[in-house]
Amino acid sequence: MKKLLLALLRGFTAVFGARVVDQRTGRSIGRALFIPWRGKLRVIGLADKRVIVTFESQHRLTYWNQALTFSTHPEPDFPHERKVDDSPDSSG
Amino acid sequence: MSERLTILLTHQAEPLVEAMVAWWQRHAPGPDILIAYGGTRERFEALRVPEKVFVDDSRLRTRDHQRERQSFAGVFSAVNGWLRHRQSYRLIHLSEFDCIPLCGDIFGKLEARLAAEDADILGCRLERLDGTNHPHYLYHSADPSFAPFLNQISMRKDRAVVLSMLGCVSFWKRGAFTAVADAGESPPLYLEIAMPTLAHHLGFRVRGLGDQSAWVQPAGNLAPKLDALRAAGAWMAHPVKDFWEEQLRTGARP
Repeated sequence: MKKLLLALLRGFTAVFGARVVDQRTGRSIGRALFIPWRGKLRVIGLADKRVIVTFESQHRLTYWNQALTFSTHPEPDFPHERKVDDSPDSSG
Repeated sequence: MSERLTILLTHQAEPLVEAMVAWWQRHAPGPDILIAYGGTRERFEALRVPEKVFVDDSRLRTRDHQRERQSFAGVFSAVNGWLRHRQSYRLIHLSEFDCIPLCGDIFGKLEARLAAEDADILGCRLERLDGTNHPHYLYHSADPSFAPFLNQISMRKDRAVVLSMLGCVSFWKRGAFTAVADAGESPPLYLEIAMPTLAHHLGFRVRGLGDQSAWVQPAGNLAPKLDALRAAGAWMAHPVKDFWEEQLRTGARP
């Protein structure tokens, strides 16, 4: 029963969910439902996406509304902080 | 003694493990093979394979892997102890039993990629999770000891970085493998987070095998599609369900 309800919810989200755009790449991330619930915003539909939520910075100061935006991390590509000495030890 | 070591992690019954070792020796020859065994002690003792270590760690033997934060810490620790007296090994290919090579020179391909990326570790589906909605990250970040642990071990400027990769296959320089093994885990970390995150914060360079991700999946069964995957350029496939049972039954080539 739970699986059926979840499948229906996923279908509903795919059709009626709000489009979410990755602010880093400009690409569409998918569709999601945003449901206010007990002082929080529940997000349904982005379970398989890795999104970071931030308030959008304002080029023009505006008091009456602020925008929440979504972005993704780039592929991990960090440099070494240490080097491995991987030369074989013939003593073994 | 070889410089190349392939670790096969399995919990399967003895005939399946022995068939698996023979298959790897035939189809991906070259590296020495070490069985890291997560089954029962009795089955381990009965195993007839060239090299084996028993993984005596309840955190490997989880049922709800993500919620119980299944760990390879015991695997790393057991292998590290075994490696201590075998200094020649330089490169380590860690593979679960249901991830099979689709090319004979997979070790060479991984070694070449490691060099091309100037990396210390290669993994599949490598992602950065910190600050995101990923459930594994959110679950770990709820643990009050998680961030202090990273802060304690990290030699990076940004000590909040959390990485993830699949646990079914990874390729390591020995120094990185032993450093991660020695780091241990406190608090408990889910293996997909533990391996790349610990390696990263210990100063090693972790890179993804992006072009292989399509064929290394977290779930499903790729066993019926092996020829098509090979033709498409796959070096390996995961998961392949009942592959060793089928090998034992038919003795056929995949």
